[in-house]
Amino acid sequence: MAKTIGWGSYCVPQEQVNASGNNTNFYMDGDSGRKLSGDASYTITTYTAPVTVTSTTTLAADQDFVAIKALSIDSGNVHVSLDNGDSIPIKLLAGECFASKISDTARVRIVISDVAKVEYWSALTS
Amino acid sequence: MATPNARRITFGTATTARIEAATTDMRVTREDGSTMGNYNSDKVILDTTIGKRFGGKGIATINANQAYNGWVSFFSPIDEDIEGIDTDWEDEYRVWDEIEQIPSGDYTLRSDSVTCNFLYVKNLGAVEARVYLDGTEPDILIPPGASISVRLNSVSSGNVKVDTASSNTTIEYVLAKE
Repeated sequence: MAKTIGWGSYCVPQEQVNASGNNTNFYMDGDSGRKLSGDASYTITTYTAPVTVTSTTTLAADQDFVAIKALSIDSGNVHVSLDNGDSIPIKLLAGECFASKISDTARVRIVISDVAKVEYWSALTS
Repeated sequence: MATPNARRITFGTATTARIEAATTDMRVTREDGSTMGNYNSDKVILDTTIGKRFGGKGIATINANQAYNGWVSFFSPIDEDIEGIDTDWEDEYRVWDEIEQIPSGDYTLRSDSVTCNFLYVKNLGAVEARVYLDGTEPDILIPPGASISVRLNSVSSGNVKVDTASSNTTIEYVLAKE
């Protein structure tokens, strides 16, 4: 039985025209003009079950897909490195998720600087 | 590009791990001996290994003054020099096409030098796109149709690049200054 991953993401740039007065609402940013979104599905062979961690963790090598969510952050920060900690270009706040297909050379490391709970799972194509 | 009082980006990501349901004979036999229904149940169900829809959402506050029209792909770069009414839009080569052609060599999304805290990239083409966040390794892969929405940790715009392993593709993107 074939296994697949379906994933998608969206973003909505917004702008606030007035800082005070009766209307301080944010509206869709005129530079993009619409909600942006994309999705895809991806056939894989193996998933790992979701794992919850509370300290810095390096995922197994050669993963083809990762999904990482910051469940809670009491103090400090949660970052994601794709090169085993050499750089930490991705930041997660509580409730945010990073999910993507990744290259064979990527080595995912979840960097927790203080007290936080992070859940992740990953998948392989072969 | 006017500068509003404030800017932000709401974003989210969701994944589901799915598996094809077991093949089942769904046919029933009528009194007259004929059958109805389908043999195969080809439904796709949520895989119990993951057991849930896995995702999250957030709001990234970005700089009100992005200082560069190329922070989104929806504006011709030539408009950077033309504030207000673009009287010469009909003469431009790339106008309002909302996409960027990405070659197999590194392609830097923003030509200015700023620190960024949000990235969205969608692959509109037929070839897998690769995203660099450290300027040297294409660690993130975006298949055709897929997108990524990522809060960046103060990443230099010069380190955010997109390319393909071979051939070309097209993307739409948002790369926001923090």
